[in-house]
Amino acid sequence: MRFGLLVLLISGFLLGSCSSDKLSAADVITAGFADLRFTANSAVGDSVRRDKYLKASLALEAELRSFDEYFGGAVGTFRTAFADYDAGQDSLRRISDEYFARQKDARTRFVDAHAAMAASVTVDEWKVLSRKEISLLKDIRSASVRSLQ
Amino acid sequence: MNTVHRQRGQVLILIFGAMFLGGGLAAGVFSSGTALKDMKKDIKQLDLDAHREKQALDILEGWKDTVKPRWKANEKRVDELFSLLEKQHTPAATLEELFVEQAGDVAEAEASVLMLRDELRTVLNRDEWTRVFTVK
Repeated sequence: MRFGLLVLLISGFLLGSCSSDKLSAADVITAGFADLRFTANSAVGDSVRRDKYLKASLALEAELRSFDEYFGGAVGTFRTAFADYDAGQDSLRRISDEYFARQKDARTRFVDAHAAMAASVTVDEWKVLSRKEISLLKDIRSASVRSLQ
Repeated sequence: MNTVHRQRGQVLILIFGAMFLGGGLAAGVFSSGTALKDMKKDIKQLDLDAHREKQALDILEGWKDTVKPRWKANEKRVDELFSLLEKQHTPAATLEELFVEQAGDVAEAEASVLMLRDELRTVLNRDEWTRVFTVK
């Protein structure tokens, strides 16, 4: 519990120290999942279900973080190729094909982790937690898009 | 002096975000009106003859026409996706349907954008291309 409070304070600092529209996707993931787990700790009464939820949320966080890291590199590679006068469609397609394949795998793991989170809690608990999760996913998406501008 | 050129970020915005939907690497080109405006300005600064300038500007318009409607469609799909995720028992197959539909759309957009990129390369020479697509 003490650790949870500490994490929440740190994430609160992260969110409060910079305007939320300037946070990177990685920062949003860190702060948002800490907040989500803090909420789960109080919202999910049963410790077995809570542990399942928390474990699945860690998997979801890891997947989003991993893809976010890959995403930045892929975009950079593609941009460089796109700006290269000599680069033809084949080389650009190779980059995007790899990206799509990676994205497809990541989505599968994302959906699995999300489903595990949903399956581990009651209807009432899910109402609280899903709202929080969706809000977090929207924030991550916004941060990802913003990072490209 | 750092001679590395930075590609204009605003030109190659991915319209669909990282993981959730779409994410076509090329499909996001000219996803914003601002970027298109900037590109047009750059083309005009190249001092091309009127014919080539018109060709280049027409290609940029085609780029926008290709991406813009798909961007709007994607935004609707993203909203739908978040609604489905918020429901506790949405089957994975339902989400997958949405992903597949979007992937097809993105693939088409990407193919069009790459074709238009090739067309633009036939209009601009190497130096002109570099001046438009990179910033010191």
